[in-house]
Amino acid sequence: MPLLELRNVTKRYQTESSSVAAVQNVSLEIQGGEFIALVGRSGCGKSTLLHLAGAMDFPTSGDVVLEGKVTSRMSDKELTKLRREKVGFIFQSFQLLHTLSVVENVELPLLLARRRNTRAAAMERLRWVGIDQYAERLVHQLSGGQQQRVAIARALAHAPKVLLADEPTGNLDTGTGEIVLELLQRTASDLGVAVVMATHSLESTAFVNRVVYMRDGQIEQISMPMAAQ
Amino acid sequence: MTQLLVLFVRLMLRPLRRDVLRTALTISAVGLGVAVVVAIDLAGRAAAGSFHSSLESLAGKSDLQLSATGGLSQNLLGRLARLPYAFDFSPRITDFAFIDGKGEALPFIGLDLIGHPAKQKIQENGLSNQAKEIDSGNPIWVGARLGLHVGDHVQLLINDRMHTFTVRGVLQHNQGEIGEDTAIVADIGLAQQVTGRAGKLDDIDVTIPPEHALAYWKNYLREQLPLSVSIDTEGSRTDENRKMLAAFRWNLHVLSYIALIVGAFLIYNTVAVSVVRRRNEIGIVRALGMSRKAITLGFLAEALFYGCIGSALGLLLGRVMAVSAVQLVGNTVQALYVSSQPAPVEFSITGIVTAFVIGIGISLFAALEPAVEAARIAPVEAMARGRDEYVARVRSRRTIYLAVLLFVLAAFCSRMPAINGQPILAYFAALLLVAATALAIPNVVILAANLSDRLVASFLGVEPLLALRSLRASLGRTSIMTAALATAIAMTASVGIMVGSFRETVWLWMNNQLRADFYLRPAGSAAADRHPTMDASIPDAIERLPGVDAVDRFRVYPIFYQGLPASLGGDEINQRHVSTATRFLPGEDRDAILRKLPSGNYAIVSEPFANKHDVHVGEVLRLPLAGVDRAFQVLGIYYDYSTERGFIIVDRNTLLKYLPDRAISNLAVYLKPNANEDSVRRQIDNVIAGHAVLVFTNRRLRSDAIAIFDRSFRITYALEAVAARTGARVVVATLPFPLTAPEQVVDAILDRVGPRTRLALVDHVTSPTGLVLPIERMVRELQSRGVDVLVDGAHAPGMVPLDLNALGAEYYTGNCHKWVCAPKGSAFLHVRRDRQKGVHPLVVSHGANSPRTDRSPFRLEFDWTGTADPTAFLTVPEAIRYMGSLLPGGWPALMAHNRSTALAARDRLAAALGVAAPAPDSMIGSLAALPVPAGFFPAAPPRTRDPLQAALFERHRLELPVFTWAALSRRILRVSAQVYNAAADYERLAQALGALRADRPGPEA
Repeated sequence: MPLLELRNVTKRYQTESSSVAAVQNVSLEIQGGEFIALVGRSGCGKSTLLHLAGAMDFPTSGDVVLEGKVTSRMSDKELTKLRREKVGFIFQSFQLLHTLSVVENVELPLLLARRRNTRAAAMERLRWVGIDQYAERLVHQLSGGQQQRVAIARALAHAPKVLLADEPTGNLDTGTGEIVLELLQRTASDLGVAVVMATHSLESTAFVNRVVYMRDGQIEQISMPMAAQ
Repeated sequence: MTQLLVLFVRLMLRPLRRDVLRTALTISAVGLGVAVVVAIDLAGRAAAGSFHSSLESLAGKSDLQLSATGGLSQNLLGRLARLPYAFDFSPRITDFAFIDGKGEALPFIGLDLIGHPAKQKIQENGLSNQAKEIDSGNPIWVGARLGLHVGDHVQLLINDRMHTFTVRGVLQHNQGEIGEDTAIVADIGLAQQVTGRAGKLDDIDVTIPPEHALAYWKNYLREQLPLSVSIDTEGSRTDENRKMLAAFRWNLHVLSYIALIVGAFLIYNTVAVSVVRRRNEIGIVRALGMSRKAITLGFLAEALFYGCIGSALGLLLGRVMAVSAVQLVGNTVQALYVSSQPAPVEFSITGIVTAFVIGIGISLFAALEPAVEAARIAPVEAMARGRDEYVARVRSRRTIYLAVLLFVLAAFCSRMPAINGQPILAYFAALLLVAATALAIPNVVILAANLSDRLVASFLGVEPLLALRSLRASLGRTSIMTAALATAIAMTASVGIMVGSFRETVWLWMNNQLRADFYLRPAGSAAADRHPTMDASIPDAIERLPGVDAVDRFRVYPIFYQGLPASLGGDEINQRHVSTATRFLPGEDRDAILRKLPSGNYAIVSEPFANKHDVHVGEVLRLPLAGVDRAFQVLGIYYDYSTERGFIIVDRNTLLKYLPDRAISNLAVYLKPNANEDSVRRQIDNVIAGHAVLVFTNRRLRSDAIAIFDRSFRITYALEAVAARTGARVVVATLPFPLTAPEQVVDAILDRVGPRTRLALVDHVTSPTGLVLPIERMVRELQSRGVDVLVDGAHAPGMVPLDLNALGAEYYTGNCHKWVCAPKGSAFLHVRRDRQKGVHPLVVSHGANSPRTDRSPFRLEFDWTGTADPTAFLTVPEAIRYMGSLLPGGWPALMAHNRSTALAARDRLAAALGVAAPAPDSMIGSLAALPVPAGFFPAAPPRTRDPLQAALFERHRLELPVFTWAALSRRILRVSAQVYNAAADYERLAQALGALRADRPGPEA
């Protein structure tokens, strides 16, 4: 059974005069430990698909199934619990809280999940992404690459089953971007987490197991990356 | 739980530090709102504390109280004593006294200290109850707060007479008993004597025998006593007074809630802005698994934080504000309702809890909507700003219909009658109006923005256009801010218009009503239920004065009508004068009413009385007068704004038949058309010599009445100030010259003082006219009207004795180069310590941020600004020492010498100019100014060299100022007298003036 499954998922947005389909009739299966890239031009629907996969938004039709449970039928309370326990997010602009220190950012999902020994667990994740020496610094004192590594540590802090990354290297130079991609690759291979990454950079696809090409809200093609072929 | 607390501290409290200013503003808004409510509540409670409570505790516990209009006959006591039951009767006299004729009205209570339980109270206070002590030396027992000691002799003004008493004991204040700490107690015999009520009693307290219930004994006494004797349950009149005050306090409370509404708007705005600014953060934590409930609770907890700290601050601030407010509220209560001694301002547990409930409640209420809005943010929306504003714009079209509905509902509610005497629906209408305005505002903002778009783009360029678009983009917040501002301005304007229009009405009414030339009343302050009397011989003697055309004697009795306090007046209806003054409701024939009034048992009633008791023309009022119930037919209803209690006026002679006490409360004096006002005034002063009676001129009475009005409404002005600050305007008072008395100066200045006057700039010694003004009195009078005083004492130091601390003016500035003879540039500014924080030098220098603590910040800022040369200042001590060493008597002798030289010079020069001394001697220091008679010597326009001054210098080598003072249209010659001047100098000037007068150039041929 796949860890995450999208069955004929459609998402429409209503404007004042018309209805626009951001994602249209998409089906996709993702296994644990798999690293997938959603590739396409801006506005092709990859970020929306990511939000639907992470239970951050509801589909207009179709089902999103995570560990056998249909998330599109869950209440808001159940979705919140799901995000808190099963899903981790990484954003293009890092989305760290600037009033908190590095380690406090990483502690955040643990505190929300009411875990104990949050500080030790957060430090463990920071060590894993190789940035524990900056634990007490404020976020704005770090470089872009370091900030994205903090974001990865935060996304993995509560040991999620699925990690969703929206343009994780969009704001980084090539070298730093590669470090982040290697980290995501390790997350999938070493921790068994299903990693889904939305990107418009074809170079990024070298690190993934499968590439899903999207166009106008639909899957155009699914292929193995060049490196894997 | 711990995790939640950590999250709250990190996510909600920590960001507040980023925005210290906004956080402080929000907390202070809640604090101010709570403070105003707390202060008004504490002050209202304290001001309503009646001295009747002290009577209850002083006289011991009793059950019933007997009283009658005009007092009870003492014989009644003998009749009561013969009743075959074990009643206990305690007679009482109640009046007011003023220590040395000044200050607040103190309850003066006469009790039977020899034969009655009242003495127990005196005994409890460790004092002897020996009869012989009570009989000798006018003994009194005084409340602890009066600061008197056993053995002190004290002068008390009671009605129009001063009496000397000896303090025999001090009453210790007991917890929970209001007003007793200022009461003065005397034996009843002495009290009857000094209040002029021989053979009379004001009340009799009754303690009933235990065998039957209160109602039984009340009925029994009712059968035994004449109907005119009121039998009330003890304390019920205090309750009635409190009930009467309840409406007043309720109105104050509602006004104070305006401050809370403004606070609520600020909370709303702060939390709403916080939600908008942290939208992204909310989206992140929602994505990380924070529930909607937790988001709502987080923002509510932030509001709780504002509420808790704001309420605590508000409690402290409210306690401080209450002390001032109690005086303001007390003044209003005294002027309009009832005499009361303010109780101490004290917190109660209920008060503290209420303050927190209000502060926290209003904070949570205001934050609820933005907190719920925050919880609605979906994680994906965090990255899509502006969507909520779009929703608000779409909704705004629908809200206009709701706004119209609320406006209509508000109009409907505002026209509904009161519920239990309270305008509940009117208040609700005001709330609906606020809500309707808030709903309508988004559309108004859009409309205004649309209309101004093109204009702004054409004339002002792109930056203002962007600002305008940004306003429209954040429509929700813009609308709320506009609504908050609109509410504050509307409230301020409406209170201002209401009070202003009422003031205008009072002013018109006074112009109509006050027609006499002089008004007399006993000294000491009167109140709505306190009417001291003066001897009946005074009006008789004044009536016989040659310049007096007529007098109008007026006597007022405080009474209870249908259980509510009212005033009964006996007026001498003087057809010639009164008929034009009294105005009746439309349709009533004034002349016919006033002609008929003296012919029998007829009455006219004031409009407030008629409204309160639903009295109509033709109805009969039954008034209990001195033992008998009397019927008076109502002839008319007249306009009167002097008291809220309401007046019943009957003819004085009719009233004297039933209450044969000829003493009067007020007297109006009308002069003959050609009478000299000053001369009659002097004759009146002779008549009232030995009596403590005040005489007011017509103009002075009007200004005093308006001052009382303004004092009463100052509390509403204070509330206005919470909503908005007002600008300043300069009003100039012109002082008369020549003048006959210092009072003319005080009158001229007080005439220009209004409710908005905040600061008065007055001279100590005027420069062109050289008059020493009655500065102590001016400062006192202005301060009593709430006006700060800045005294320009340029000429005063060295001319007149000066004690700045004793004078107590907020600001005083004086020169040392004039009469202290120090170099030019040496002067001083004295700012009272409590005003120093608001005054800074024009040049900010290094003292402004000095870390020194051994000197006041005021001194640090002023003492050394830039590179000012201090040489002139440093000579001042030596100048003071040197000038003081010139005559054997030091400075007092020097000042006396200069003054006597100036007075002699003035008299000599007045003779030479052929004019009278233009000011009384008491207003002369070392300067003397004289008006130059028209035609004495050719004159020149103002601000050019005067030909007389030129001639004096060129022909006689005499230098002195001669000038035309435009404000007075007078030409003035002024001389100064310093120690080096002698009588010979002025003699030379007098002769020179004589010579110039003799050979002045004649008219050109």
